[in-house]
Amino acid sequence: MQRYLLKRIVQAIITIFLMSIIIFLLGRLSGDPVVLLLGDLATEEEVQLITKELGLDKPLPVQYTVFLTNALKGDLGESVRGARRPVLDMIVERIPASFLLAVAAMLISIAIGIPIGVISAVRRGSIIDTLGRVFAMLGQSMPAFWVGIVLMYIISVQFRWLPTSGYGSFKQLILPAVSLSGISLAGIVRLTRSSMLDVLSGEYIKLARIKGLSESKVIWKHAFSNSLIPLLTFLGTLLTGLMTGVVVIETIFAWPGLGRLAWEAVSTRDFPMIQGVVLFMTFMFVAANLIIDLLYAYVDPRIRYT
Amino acid sequence: MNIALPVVKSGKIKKVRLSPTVIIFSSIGLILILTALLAPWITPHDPNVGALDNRLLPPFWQEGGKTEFVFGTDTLGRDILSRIIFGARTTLSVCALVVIIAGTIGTLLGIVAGYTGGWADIIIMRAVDLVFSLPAILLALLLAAIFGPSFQILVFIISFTLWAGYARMARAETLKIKGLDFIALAKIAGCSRASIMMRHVLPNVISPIIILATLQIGTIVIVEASLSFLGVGVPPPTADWGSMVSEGRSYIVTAWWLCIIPGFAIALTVLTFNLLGDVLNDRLNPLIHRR
Repeated sequence: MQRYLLKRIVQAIITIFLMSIIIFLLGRLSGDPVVLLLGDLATEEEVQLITKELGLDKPLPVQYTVFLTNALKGDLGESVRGARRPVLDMIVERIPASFLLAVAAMLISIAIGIPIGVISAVRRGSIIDTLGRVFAMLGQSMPAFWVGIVLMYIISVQFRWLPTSGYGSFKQLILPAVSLSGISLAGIVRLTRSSMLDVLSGEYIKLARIKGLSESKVIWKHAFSNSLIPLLTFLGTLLTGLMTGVVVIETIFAWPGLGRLAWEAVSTRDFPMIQGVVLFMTFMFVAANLIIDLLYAYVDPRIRYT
Repeated sequence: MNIALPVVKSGKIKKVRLSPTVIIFSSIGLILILTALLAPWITPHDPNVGALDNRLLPPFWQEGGKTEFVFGTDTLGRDILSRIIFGARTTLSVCALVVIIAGTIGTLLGIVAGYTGGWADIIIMRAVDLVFSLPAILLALLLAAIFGPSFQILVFIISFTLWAGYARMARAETLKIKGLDFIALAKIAGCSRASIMMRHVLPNVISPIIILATLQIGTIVIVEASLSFLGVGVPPPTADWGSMVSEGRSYIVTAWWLCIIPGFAIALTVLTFNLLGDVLNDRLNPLIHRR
Protein backbone atom coordinates (compact mmCIF):
# COMPACT_ATOMS: atom_id res chain seq x y z
CA MET A 1 0.00 0.00 0.00
CA GLN A 2 2.79 2.41 0.90
CA ARG A 3 4.60 1.85 -2.38
CA TYR A 4 1.41 2.42 -4.32
CA LEU A 5 0.65 5.55 -2.30
CA LEU A 6 4.10 6.94 -2.99
CA LYS A 7 3.89 6.13 -6.69
CA ARG A 8 0.55 7.90 -7.08
CA ILE A 9 1.67 10.98 -5.15
CA VAL A 10 4.83 11.30 -7.28
CA GLN A 11 2.69 10.96 -10.42
CA ALA A 12 0.35 13.69 -9.23
CA ILE A 13 3.23 16.03 -8.48
CA ILE A 14 4.72 15.43 -11.94
CA THR A 15 1.37 16.22 -13.56
CA ILE A 16 1.04 19.50 -11.71
CA PHE A 17 4.69 20.33 -12.44
CA LEU A 18 4.26 19.72 -16.19
CA MET A 19 1.04 21.71 -16.23
CA SER A 20 2.80 24.62 -14.53
CA ILE A 21 5.47 24.57 -17.25
CA ILE A 22 2.78 24.55 -19.97
CA ILE A 23 0.94 27.42 -18.29
CA PHE A 24 4.15 29.39 -17.86
CA LEU A 25 5.30 28.95 -21.46
CA LEU A 26 1.86 29.76 -22.85
CA GLY A 27 1.88 32.86 -20.69
CA ARG A 28 5.12 34.01 -22.34
CA LEU A 29 3.57 33.35 -25.75
CA SER A 30 0.59 35.51 -24.96
CA GLY A 31 2.46 38.68 -25.78
CA ASP A 32 4.71 40.99 -23.82
CA PRO A 33 3.51 41.23 -20.20
CA VAL A 34 5.09 44.67 -19.97
CA VAL A 35 2.95 46.05 -22.77
CA LEU A 36 -0.06 44.38 -21.16
CA LEU A 37 0.74 46.15 -17.90
CA LEU A 38 1.77 49.59 -19.17
CA GLY A 39 -0.29 49.91 -22.32
CA ASP A 40 1.00 51.07 -25.71
CA LEU A 41 1.83 54.62 -24.61
CA ALA A 42 4.75 53.78 -22.29
CA THR A 43 8.19 55.25 -23.01
CA GLU A 44 11.24 53.15 -23.79
CA GLU A 45 12.75 53.77 -20.34
CA GLU A 46 9.60 52.78 -18.52
CA VAL A 47 9.45 49.54 -20.52
CA GLN A 48 13.08 48.73 -19.68
CA LEU A 49 12.59 49.55 -16.02
CA ILE A 50 9.56 47.29 -15.67
CA THR A 51 11.19 44.53 -17.71
CA LYS A 52 14.08 44.55 -15.26
CA GLU A 53 11.78 44.81 -12.25
CA LEU A 54 9.71 41.80 -13.36
CA GLY A 55 12.87 39.85 -14.17
CA LEU A 56 11.86 39.44 -17.80
CA ASP A 57 15.42 40.10 -19.02
CA LYS A 58 16.60 36.84 -17.49
CA PRO A 59 16.62 33.50 -19.38
CA LEU A 60 13.40 31.46 -19.43
CA PRO A 61 14.43 28.69 -16.98
CA VAL A 62 15.31 31.35 -14.39
CA GLN A 63 11.99 33.10 -15.00
CA TYR A 64 10.20 29.79 -14.61
CA THR A 65 11.94 29.07 -11.30
CA VAL A 66 10.80 32.45 -10.01
CA PHE A 67 7.26 31.79 -11.25
CA LEU A 68 7.18 28.38 -9.55
CA THR A 69 8.63 29.50 -6.21
CA ASN A 70 6.20 32.40 -6.11
CA ALA A 71 3.30 30.09 -6.92
CA LEU A 72 4.37 27.70 -4.17
CA LYS A 73 4.46 30.61 -1.74
CA GLY A 74 0.92 31.46 -2.81
CA ASP A 75 1.85 34.43 -4.96
CA LEU A 76 0.08 34.04 -8.30
CA GLY A 77 0.56 37.64 -9.38
CA GLU A 78 -1.98 40.40 -9.65
CA SER A 79 -5.03 40.82 -11.82
CA VAL A 80 -4.43 43.39 -14.56
CA ARG A 81 -8.08 44.45 -14.55
CA GLY A 82 -10.15 46.43 -12.07
CA ALA A 83 -8.53 47.02 -8.70
CA ARG A 84 -5.46 44.90 -9.59
CA ARG A 85 -5.95 42.66 -6.60
CA PRO A 86 -3.80 39.60 -5.91
CA VAL A 87 -5.02 36.64 -7.99
CA LEU A 88 -4.93 34.21 -5.08
CA ASP A 89 -7.22 36.39 -2.93
CA MET A 90 -9.79 36.54 -5.69
CA ILE A 91 -9.58 32.77 -6.20
CA VAL A 92 -10.00 32.02 -2.50
CA GLU A 93 -13.11 34.22 -2.35
CA ARG A 94 -14.72 32.16 -5.10
CA ILE A 95 -14.07 28.70 -3.64
CA PRO A 96 -17.07 28.43 -1.27
CA ALA A 97 -19.61 29.16 -4.01
CA SER A 98 -18.16 26.55 -6.40
CA PHE A 99 -17.81 24.02 -3.61
CA LEU A 100 -21.42 24.50 -2.52
CA LEU A 101 -22.67 24.11 -6.09
CA ALA A 102 -20.59 21.00 -6.82
CA VAL A 103 -21.58 19.29 -3.56
CA ALA A 104 -25.27 20.09 -4.04
CA ALA A 105 -25.15 18.73 -7.60
CA MET A 106 -23.38 15.54 -6.50
CA LEU A 107 -25.89 14.97 -3.69
CA ILE A 108 -28.81 15.38 -6.08
CA SER A 109 -27.40 13.00 -8.67
CA ILE A 110 -26.52 10.39 -6.04
CA ALA A 111 -29.87 10.69 -4.26
CA ILE A 112 -31.78 10.20 -7.51
CA GLY A 113 -29.35 8.13 -9.58
CA ILE A 114 -28.53 5.32 -7.15
CA PRO A 115 -32.11 4.33 -6.24
CA ILE A 116 -33.14 4.38 -9.93
CA GLY A 117 -30.09 2.29 -10.85
CA VAL A 118 -30.73 -0.25 -8.07
CA ILE A 119 -34.43 -0.60 -8.82
CA SER A 120 -33.71 -0.94 -12.56
CA ALA A 121 -31.32 -3.81 -11.84
CA VAL A 122 -33.59 -5.59 -9.36
CA ARG A 123 -36.66 -5.26 -11.53
CA ARG A 124 -34.93 -5.79 -14.83
CA GLY A 125 -37.18 -5.23 -17.83
CA SER A 126 -39.88 -3.48 -15.80
CA ILE A 127 -41.36 -0.12 -16.69
CA ILE A 128 -39.03 1.61 -14.23
CA ASP A 129 -36.04 -0.05 -15.91
CA THR A 130 -37.12 1.03 -19.40
CA LEU A 131 -37.95 4.55 -18.27
CA GLY A 132 -34.65 4.75 -16.41
CA ARG A 133 -32.71 3.76 -19.52
CA VAL A 134 -34.56 6.22 -21.76
CA PHE A 135 -34.05 8.90 -19.13
CA ALA A 136 -30.31 8.13 -18.88
CA MET A 137 -29.94 8.14 -22.66
CA LEU A 138 -31.70 11.51 -22.96
CA GLY A 139 -29.75 12.93 -20.03
CA GLN A 140 -26.45 12.04 -21.65
CA SER A 141 -27.46 13.72 -24.88
CA MET A 142 -28.34 17.15 -23.59
CA PRO A 143 -25.55 19.68 -23.04
CA ALA A 144 -25.56 21.13 -19.50
CA PHE A 145 -25.74 24.72 -20.65
CA TRP A 146 -28.86 24.02 -22.66
CA VAL A 147 -30.56 22.15 -19.80
CA GLY A 148 -29.76 25.15 -17.60
CA ILE A 149 -31.29 27.62 -20.03
CA VAL A 150 -34.41 25.49 -20.63
CA LEU A 151 -34.98 25.04 -16.89
CA MET A 152 -34.48 28.75 -16.38
CA TYR A 153 -36.98 29.49 -19.14
CA ILE A 154 -39.67 27.11 -17.87
CA ILE A 155 -39.32 27.47 -14.11
CA SER A 156 -38.13 31.03 -13.66
CA VAL A 157 -39.53 32.84 -16.68
CA GLN A 158 -42.81 31.04 -17.36
CA PHE A 159 -43.88 29.96 -13.88
CA ARG A 160 -41.82 32.37 -11.80
CA TRP A 161 -41.23 29.73 -9.12
CA LEU A 162 -37.53 30.40 -8.65
CA PRO A 163 -35.18 33.32 -9.26
CA THR A 164 -33.36 33.22 -12.63
CA SER A 165 -29.87 33.73 -11.27
CA GLY A 166 -27.71 35.07 -8.47
CA TYR A 167 -26.17 33.77 -5.29
CA GLY A 168 -27.00 33.85 -1.60
CA SER A 169 -30.27 32.04 -0.94
CA PHE A 170 -31.31 28.39 -1.07
CA LYS A 171 -33.82 29.16 -3.82
CA GLN A 172 -31.05 30.47 -6.01
CA LEU A 173 -29.06 27.27 -5.53
CA ILE A 174 -31.76 24.90 -6.80
CA LEU A 175 -31.67 25.56 -10.55
CA PRO A 176 -27.89 25.62 -11.05
CA ALA A 177 -27.47 22.52 -8.87
CA VAL A 178 -30.17 20.58 -10.72
CA SER A 179 -28.72 21.54 -14.14
CA LEU A 180 -25.25 20.52 -13.03
CA SER A 181 -26.44 17.21 -11.57
CA GLY A 182 -27.78 16.22 -14.98
CA ILE A 183 -24.23 15.66 -16.21
CA SER A 184 -23.48 12.92 -13.70
CA LEU A 185 -26.98 11.54 -13.20
CA ALA A 186 -27.17 9.50 -16.40
CA GLY A 187 -23.76 7.95 -15.79
CA ILE A 188 -24.59 7.05 -12.19
CA VAL A 189 -27.86 5.35 -13.20
CA ARG A 190 -26.19 3.27 -15.93
CA LEU A 191 -23.24 2.29 -13.81
CA THR A 192 -25.24 1.43 -10.68
CA ARG A 193 -27.52 -0.72 -12.77
CA SER A 194 -24.79 -2.69 -14.52
CA SER A 195 -22.68 -3.20 -11.42
CA MET A 196 -25.75 -4.26 -9.41
CA LEU A 197 -26.57 -6.82 -12.13
CA ASP A 198 -23.03 -8.21 -11.88
CA VAL A 199 -23.21 -8.46 -8.12
CA LEU A 200 -26.72 -9.94 -8.01
CA SER A 201 -25.61 -12.98 -10.01
CA GLY A 202 -22.90 -13.79 -7.44
CA GLU A 203 -22.90 -16.91 -5.28
CA TYR A 204 -22.96 -15.05 -1.99
CA ILE A 205 -26.22 -13.40 -2.94
CA LYS A 206 -27.72 -16.84 -3.48
CA LEU A 207 -26.37 -17.85 -0.08
CA ALA A 208 -27.84 -14.77 1.56
CA ARG A 209 -31.23 -15.64 0.05
CA ILE A 210 -30.93 -19.30 1.13
CA LYS A 211 -30.11 -18.13 4.64
CA GLY A 212 -33.57 -16.60 4.55
CA LEU A 213 -32.62 -12.95 4.77
CA SER A 214 -35.28 -10.50 3.77
CA GLU A 215 -35.12 -9.33 0.17
CA SER A 216 -34.45 -5.71 1.15
CA LYS A 217 -31.54 -6.81 3.34
CA VAL A 218 -30.10 -8.94 0.51
CA ILE A 219 -30.34 -6.07 -1.95
CA TRP A 220 -29.23 -3.12 0.12
CA LYS A 221 -26.80 -4.67 2.56
CA HIS A 222 -25.18 -7.46 0.57
CA ALA A 223 -25.56 -6.52 -3.06
CA PHE A 224 -25.54 -2.75 -3.01
CA SER A 225 -22.51 -2.27 -0.79
CA ASN A 226 -20.47 -4.45 -3.15
CA SER A 227 -21.71 -2.71 -6.26
CA LEU A 228 -20.31 0.57 -4.98
CA ILE A 229 -16.71 -0.25 -5.92
CA PRO A 230 -17.01 0.26 -9.71
CA LEU A 231 -18.94 3.42 -8.96
CA LEU A 232 -15.87 4.82 -7.26
CA THR A 233 -13.74 4.60 -10.43
CA PHE A 234 -16.46 6.44 -12.26
CA LEU A 235 -16.03 9.40 -9.88
CA GLY A 236 -12.82 10.39 -11.66
CA THR A 237 -14.55 10.61 -15.03
CA LEU A 238 -17.39 12.42 -13.34
CA LEU A 239 -15.02 15.04 -12.05
CA THR A 240 -13.95 16.05 -15.57
CA GLY A 241 -17.57 16.49 -16.58
CA LEU A 242 -18.28 18.39 -13.40
CA MET A 243 -15.37 20.75 -14.07
CA THR A 244 -16.68 21.64 -17.54
CA GLY A 245 -20.19 21.86 -16.11
CA VAL A 246 -19.14 24.19 -13.32
CA VAL A 247 -17.67 26.70 -15.79
CA VAL A 248 -20.72 26.59 -18.04
CA ILE A 249 -23.43 26.53 -15.37
CA GLU A 250 -21.82 29.26 -13.27
CA THR A 251 -21.62 31.45 -16.34
CA ILE A 252 -25.32 30.99 -17.12
CA PHE A 253 -26.64 31.48 -13.59
CA ALA A 254 -24.26 34.31 -12.63
CA TRP A 255 -22.95 32.08 -9.84
CA PRO A 256 -19.86 33.71 -8.31
CA GLY A 257 -17.58 30.64 -8.33
CA LEU A 258 -14.25 29.67 -9.85
CA GLY A 259 -15.74 28.72 -13.20
CA ARG A 260 -17.29 32.12 -13.66
CA LEU A 261 -14.03 33.74 -12.55
CA ALA A 262 -12.18 31.80 -15.26
CA TRP A 263 -14.73 32.81 -17.87
CA GLU A 264 -14.65 36.46 -16.80
CA ALA A 265 -10.86 36.43 -16.97
CA VAL A 266 -10.96 35.01 -20.51
CA SER A 267 -13.49 37.55 -21.72
CA THR A 268 -11.54 40.49 -20.24
CA ARG A 269 -8.20 38.96 -21.34
CA ASP A 270 -6.91 39.18 -17.79
CA PHE A 271 -3.95 36.87 -18.31
CA PRO A 272 -2.43 36.59 -14.82
CA MET A 273 -5.90 35.69 -13.57
CA ILE A 274 -6.44 32.97 -16.20
CA GLN A 275 -3.02 31.53 -15.40
CA GLY A 276 -3.80 31.52 -11.70
CA VAL A 277 -7.27 30.02 -12.00
CA VAL A 278 -6.18 27.31 -14.43
CA LEU A 279 -3.22 26.37 -12.24
CA PHE A 280 -5.40 26.31 -9.16
CA MET A 281 -8.17 24.26 -10.80
CA THR A 282 -5.65 21.78 -12.21
CA PHE A 283 -4.25 21.40 -8.73
CA MET A 284 -7.71 20.74 -7.27
CA PHE A 285 -8.52 18.33 -10.07
CA VAL A 286 -5.32 16.31 -9.70
CA ALA A 287 -5.68 16.25 -5.92
CA ALA A 288 -9.26 15.02 -6.14
CA ASN A 289 -8.27 12.30 -8.62
CA LEU A 290 -5.48 11.23 -6.30
CA ILE A 291 -7.87 10.93 -3.37
CA ILE A 292 -10.32 8.89 -5.47
CA ASP A 293 -7.52 6.53 -6.57
CA LEU A 294 -6.27 6.03 -3.03
CA LEU A 295 -9.80 5.43 -1.80
CA TYR A 296 -10.25 2.87 -4.54
CA ALA A 297 -7.02 1.12 -3.64
CA TYR A 298 -8.13 1.07 -0.01
CA VAL A 299 -11.49 -0.49 -0.85
CA ASP A 300 -10.20 -2.94 -3.46
CA PRO A 301 -6.89 -4.61 -2.47
CA ARG A 302 -6.31 -5.98 -5.99
CA ILE A 303 -5.34 -2.49 -7.22
CA ARG A 304 -2.46 -2.06 -4.78
CA TYR A 305 -0.41 -4.92 -6.15
CA THR A 306 -0.42 -4.16 -9.83
CA MET B 1 7.67 -9.86 -48.97
CA ASN B 2 4.02 -10.54 -48.59
CA ILE B 3 2.40 -13.15 -46.48
CA ALA B 4 -1.26 -13.72 -45.91
CA LEU B 5 -2.91 -11.45 -43.38
CA PRO B 6 -5.09 -13.53 -41.11
CA VAL B 7 -7.69 -11.56 -39.27
CA VAL B 8 -8.48 -12.94 -35.84
CA LYS B 9 -12.23 -13.35 -35.60
CA SER B 10 -13.35 -12.00 -32.26
CA GLY B 11 -16.59 -13.97 -32.57
CA LYS B 12 -19.39 -14.38 -35.02
CA ILE B 13 -21.05 -11.15 -35.97
CA LYS B 14 -24.66 -11.51 -34.99
CA LYS B 15 -27.13 -11.46 -37.79
CA VAL B 16 -28.27 -7.88 -38.05
CA ARG B 17 -31.89 -7.55 -37.07
CA LEU B 18 -33.08 -4.02 -37.60
CA SER B 19 -35.30 -2.77 -34.84
CA PRO B 20 -37.45 0.31 -35.53
CA THR B 21 -35.22 2.39 -33.23
CA VAL B 22 -32.13 1.44 -35.20
CA ILE B 23 -33.84 2.26 -38.51
CA ILE B 24 -35.08 5.62 -37.24
CA PHE B 25 -31.77 6.70 -35.74
CA SER B 26 -29.68 5.46 -38.67
CA SER B 27 -31.88 7.57 -40.94
CA ILE B 28 -31.47 10.60 -38.68
CA GLY B 29 -27.71 10.06 -38.67
CA LEU B 30 -27.67 9.78 -42.45
CA ILE B 31 -29.81 12.91 -42.81
CA LEU B 32 -27.48 14.82 -40.48
CA ILE B 33 -24.42 13.84 -42.50
CA LEU B 34 -26.12 14.64 -45.81
CA THR B 35 -27.30 17.98 -44.41
CA ALA B 36 -23.74 18.85 -43.44
CA LEU B 37 -22.35 17.81 -46.82
CA LEU B 38 -25.02 19.53 -48.91
CA ALA B 39 -25.42 22.63 -46.71
CA PRO B 40 -24.74 25.32 -49.36
CA TRP B 41 -27.28 23.78 -51.77
CA ILE B 42 -30.16 23.14 -49.41
CA THR B 43 -30.26 26.23 -47.22
CA PRO B 44 -33.17 28.53 -48.04
CA HIS B 45 -31.21 31.67 -47.09
CA ASP B 46 -27.63 32.85 -46.62
CA PRO B 47 -26.71 31.80 -43.03
CA ASN B 48 -24.54 34.86 -42.43
CA VAL B 49 -26.58 37.60 -44.08
CA GLY B 50 -29.82 38.91 -42.64
CA ALA B 51 -32.10 41.85 -43.14
CA LEU B 52 -32.73 43.92 -40.03
CA ASP B 53 -36.39 44.35 -41.09
CA ASN B 54 -36.75 40.64 -40.44
CA ARG B 55 -35.08 40.55 -37.06
CA LEU B 56 -36.46 38.31 -34.29
CA LEU B 57 -39.27 36.76 -36.34
CA PRO B 58 -40.80 33.79 -34.49
CA PRO B 59 -41.11 30.31 -36.09
CA PHE B 60 -43.83 30.03 -38.72
CA TRP B 61 -46.38 28.35 -36.44
CA GLN B 62 -46.39 31.26 -34.05
CA GLU B 63 -48.25 34.51 -34.50
CA GLY B 64 -46.18 36.93 -36.58
CA GLY B 65 -44.02 34.18 -38.09
CA LYS B 66 -43.44 33.86 -41.82
CA THR B 67 -43.39 30.55 -43.68
CA GLU B 68 -40.30 31.87 -45.45
CA PHE B 69 -38.38 31.53 -42.17
CA VAL B 70 -39.42 28.13 -40.82
CA PHE B 71 -37.64 28.43 -37.47
CA GLY B 72 -37.73 32.24 -37.33
CA THR B 73 -34.82 34.66 -37.42
CA ASP B 74 -32.18 35.87 -34.97
CA THR B 75 -31.22 39.33 -33.70
CA LEU B 76 -29.56 40.23 -37.00
CA GLY B 77 -32.44 38.89 -39.07
CA ARG B 78 -30.56 35.78 -40.15
CA ASP B 79 -32.58 32.64 -40.93
CA ILE B 80 -32.34 30.16 -38.02
CA LEU B 81 -32.94 27.09 -40.20
CA SER B 82 -30.08 28.01 -42.53
CA ARG B 83 -27.80 28.59 -39.57
CA ILE B 84 -28.81 25.24 -38.07
CA ILE B 85 -27.98 23.52 -41.37
CA PHE B 86 -24.58 25.21 -41.60
CA GLY B 87 -24.09 24.52 -37.88
CA ALA B 88 -24.39 20.79 -38.66
CA ARG B 89 -21.53 21.31 -41.08
CA THR B 90 -19.37 23.03 -38.43
CA THR B 91 -20.09 20.43 -35.75
CA LEU B 92 -19.65 17.39 -37.97
CA SER B 93 -16.42 18.72 -39.49
CA VAL B 94 -15.02 19.17 -35.99
CA CYS B 95 -16.10 15.59 -35.19
CA ALA B 96 -14.59 14.16 -38.37
CA LEU B 97 -11.29 15.99 -37.93
CA VAL B 98 -10.98 15.09 -34.25
CA VAL B 99 -11.78 11.43 -34.86
CA ILE B 100 -9.24 11.27 -37.70
CA ILE B 101 -6.49 13.15 -35.85
CA ALA B 102 -6.97 11.71 -32.36
CA GLY B 103 -7.84 8.26 -33.71
CA THR B 104 -4.78 7.98 -35.95
CA ILE B 105 -2.26 9.36 -33.48
CA GLY B 106 -3.76 7.49 -30.53
CA THR B 107 -4.03 4.16 -32.34
CA LEU B 108 -0.50 4.29 -33.75
CA LEU B 109 1.03 5.26 -30.41
CA GLY B 110 -1.01 2.58 -28.65
CA ILE B 111 0.18 -0.13 -31.06
CA VAL B 112 3.80 1.02 -30.73
CA ALA B 113 3.50 1.04 -26.93
CA GLY B 114 1.91 -2.40 -26.83
CA TYR B 115 4.07 -4.07 -29.45
CA THR B 116 7.53 -2.70 -28.66
CA GLY B 117 7.10 -2.38 -24.89
CA GLY B 118 10.05 -1.09 -22.88
CA TRP B 119 10.75 2.63 -22.70
CA ALA B 120 8.43 3.57 -25.54
CA ASP B 121 5.62 1.89 -23.63
CA ILE B 122 6.47 3.67 -20.37
CA ILE B 123 6.76 7.11 -21.96
CA ILE B 124 3.60 6.80 -24.06
CA MET B 125 1.51 5.46 -21.19
CA ARG B 126 2.73 8.20 -18.82
CA ALA B 127 1.68 10.75 -21.43
CA VAL B 128 -1.72 9.03 -21.62
CA ASP B 129 -2.11 9.26 -17.83
CA LEU B 130 -1.13 12.92 -17.96
CA VAL B 131 -3.73 13.74 -20.59
CA PHE B 132 -6.41 11.89 -18.63
CA SER B 133 -5.64 14.06 -15.63
CA LEU B 134 -6.02 17.38 -17.46
CA PRO B 135 -9.50 18.80 -17.88
CA ALA B 136 -10.04 19.92 -21.51
CA ILE B 137 -12.02 22.96 -20.50
CA LEU B 138 -9.09 24.56 -18.67
CA LEU B 139 -6.75 24.04 -21.59
CA ALA B 140 -9.35 25.50 -23.92
CA LEU B 141 -9.81 28.61 -21.79
CA LEU B 142 -6.06 29.09 -21.60
CA LEU B 143 -5.42 28.69 -25.33
CA ALA B 144 -8.43 30.78 -26.31
CA ALA B 145 -7.25 33.58 -24.05
CA ILE B 146 -3.85 33.59 -25.73
CA PHE B 147 -4.55 32.98 -29.40
CA GLY B 148 -8.18 34.01 -29.53
CA PRO B 149 -10.88 31.50 -30.43
CA SER B 150 -10.39 29.67 -33.73
CA PHE B 151 -11.55 26.54 -35.50
CA GLN B 152 -8.03 25.06 -35.67
CA ILE B 153 -7.37 25.55 -31.96
CA LEU B 154 -10.73 24.00 -31.13
CA VAL B 155 -9.90 20.89 -33.17
CA PHE B 156 -6.44 20.76 -31.61
CA ILE B 157 -7.72 20.99 -28.02
CA ILE B 158 -10.38 18.31 -28.44
CA SER B 159 -7.98 15.99 -30.31
CA PHE B 160 -5.34 16.56 -27.66
CA THR B 161 -7.68 15.44 -24.89
CA LEU B 162 -9.12 12.44 -26.76
CA TRP B 163 -6.13 10.67 -28.37
CA ALA B 164 -5.27 9.05 -25.04
CA GLY B 165 -8.44 6.93 -25.06
CA TYR B 166 -7.52 5.42 -28.43
CA ALA B 167 -3.95 4.81 -27.27
CA ARG B 168 -5.10 2.94 -24.18
CA MET B 169 -7.49 0.77 -26.17
CA ALA B 170 -5.07 0.06 -29.06
CA ARG B 171 -2.37 -0.93 -26.55
CA ALA B 172 -4.67 -3.32 -24.70
CA GLU B 173 -5.82 -4.93 -27.98
CA THR B 174 -2.24 -5.21 -29.23
CA LEU B 175 -1.16 -6.98 -26.04
CA LYS B 176 -3.97 -9.50 -26.59
CA ILE B 177 -2.75 -10.59 -30.04
CA LYS B 178 0.97 -9.99 -29.64
CA GLY B 179 1.73 -13.56 -28.60
CA LEU B 180 -0.37 -15.26 -31.29
CA ASP B 181 1.16 -17.53 -33.91
CA PHE B 182 0.66 -15.41 -36.98
CA ILE B 183 2.75 -12.59 -35.49
CA ALA B 184 5.55 -15.06 -34.76
CA LEU B 185 5.25 -16.39 -38.32
CA ALA B 186 5.50 -12.90 -39.75
CA LYS B 187 8.64 -12.37 -37.71
CA ILE B 188 10.18 -15.60 -38.97
CA ALA B 189 9.23 -14.63 -42.51
CA GLY B 190 11.43 -11.59 -42.01
CA CYS B 191 8.85 -8.82 -41.77
CA SER B 192 10.17 -5.65 -40.22
CA ARG B 193 8.70 -4.38 -36.95
CA ALA B 194 6.99 -1.51 -38.68
CA SER B 195 5.43 -3.78 -41.25
CA ILE B 196 4.21 -6.21 -38.59
CA MET B 197 2.58 -3.35 -36.69
CA MET B 198 0.98 -1.79 -39.75
CA ARG B 199 -0.02 -4.88 -41.73
CA HIS B 200 -0.63 -7.49 -39.06
CA VAL B 201 -1.47 -5.78 -35.80
CA LEU B 202 -3.44 -2.78 -37.03
CA PRO B 203 -6.13 -4.70 -38.98
CA ASN B 204 -6.80 -6.80 -35.90
CA VAL B 205 -7.22 -3.95 -33.44
CA ILE B 206 -9.26 -1.69 -35.66
CA SER B 207 -12.81 -2.79 -34.87
CA PRO B 208 -12.91 -1.76 -31.17
CA ILE B 209 -11.26 1.49 -32.26
CA ILE B 210 -14.11 2.15 -34.70
CA ILE B 211 -16.65 1.47 -31.95
CA LEU B 212 -14.84 3.87 -29.64
CA ALA B 213 -14.82 6.52 -32.37
CA THR B 214 -18.58 6.22 -32.86
CA LEU B 215 -19.21 6.38 -29.13
CA GLN B 216 -17.00 9.45 -28.86
CA ILE B 217 -18.82 11.52 -31.47
CA GLY B 218 -21.48 12.45 -28.92
CA THR B 219 -18.84 13.63 -26.47
CA ILE B 220 -17.11 15.67 -29.17
CA VAL B 221 -20.37 17.38 -30.13
CA ILE B 222 -21.08 18.32 -26.50
CA VAL B 223 -17.55 19.56 -25.79
CA GLU B 224 -17.49 21.53 -29.05
CA ALA B 225 -20.85 23.12 -28.30
CA SER B 226 -19.88 23.92 -24.68
CA LEU B 227 -16.64 25.61 -25.72
CA SER B 228 -18.37 27.61 -28.46
CA PHE B 229 -21.09 28.52 -25.98
CA LEU B 230 -18.42 29.97 -23.69
CA GLY B 231 -16.97 31.94 -26.61
CA VAL B 232 -13.74 29.93 -26.77
CA GLY B 233 -14.72 27.65 -29.66
CA VAL B 234 -15.73 28.50 -33.19
CA PRO B 235 -15.59 32.32 -33.55
CA PRO B 236 -18.52 34.29 -35.03
CA PRO B 237 -19.97 34.76 -37.60
CA THR B 238 -19.55 31.05 -38.47
CA ALA B 239 -22.84 29.29 -37.81
CA ASP B 240 -22.39 27.03 -34.81
CA TRP B 241 -25.00 25.49 -32.51
CA GLY B 242 -23.18 26.32 -29.29
CA SER B 243 -22.62 29.95 -30.29
CA MET B 244 -26.27 30.21 -31.39
CA VAL B 245 -27.48 29.14 -27.95
CA SER B 246 -25.06 31.62 -26.40
CA GLU B 247 -26.24 34.49 -28.61
CA GLY B 248 -29.88 33.68 -27.93
CA ARG B 249 -29.43 33.43 -24.18
CA SER B 250 -30.17 37.05 -23.34
CA TYR B 251 -33.36 36.93 -25.45
CA ILE B 252 -34.79 33.89 -23.68
CA VAL B 253 -37.77 35.86 -22.31
CA THR B 254 -38.85 37.45 -25.59
CA ALA B 255 -37.51 35.05 -28.23
CA TRP B 256 -37.27 31.46 -26.94
CA TRP B 257 -36.54 29.96 -30.39
CA LEU B 258 -33.08 31.55 -30.56
CA CYS B 259 -31.59 29.11 -28.10
CA ILE B 260 -34.14 26.31 -27.72
CA ILE B 261 -33.97 25.20 -31.38
CA PRO B 262 -30.15 24.98 -31.74
CA GLY B 263 -30.01 23.21 -28.36
CA PHE B 264 -32.50 20.69 -29.66
CA ALA B 265 -30.26 20.12 -32.70
CA ILE B 266 -27.32 19.38 -30.38
CA ALA B 267 -29.33 16.98 -28.23
CA LEU B 268 -30.72 15.12 -31.26
CA THR B 269 -27.25 14.74 -32.81
CA VAL B 270 -25.70 13.46 -29.59
CA LEU B 271 -28.59 11.09 -28.94
CA THR B 272 -28.35 9.70 -32.48
CA PHE B 273 -24.63 8.98 -32.39
CA ASN B 274 -24.74 7.62 -28.83
CA LEU B 275 -27.49 5.20 -29.77
CA LEU B 276 -25.78 4.10 -32.98
CA GLY B 277 -22.52 3.66 -31.07
CA ASP B 278 -24.30 1.45 -28.53
CA VAL B 279 -25.88 -0.66 -31.25
CA LEU B 280 -22.55 -1.05 -33.05
CA ASN B 281 -20.94 -1.98 -29.75
CA ASP B 282 -23.53 -4.70 -29.14
CA ARG B 283 -23.22 -6.09 -32.66
CA LEU B 284 -19.45 -6.01 -33.19
CA ASN B 285 -18.21 -6.60 -29.71
CA PRO B 286 -19.75 -9.80 -28.40
CA LEU B 287 -17.22 -9.95 -25.56
CA ILE B 288 -18.73 -7.01 -23.78
CA HIS B 289 -22.35 -7.86 -23.38
CA ARG B 290 -24.26 -4.91 -22.17
CA ARG B 291 -27.31 -5.76 -20.17
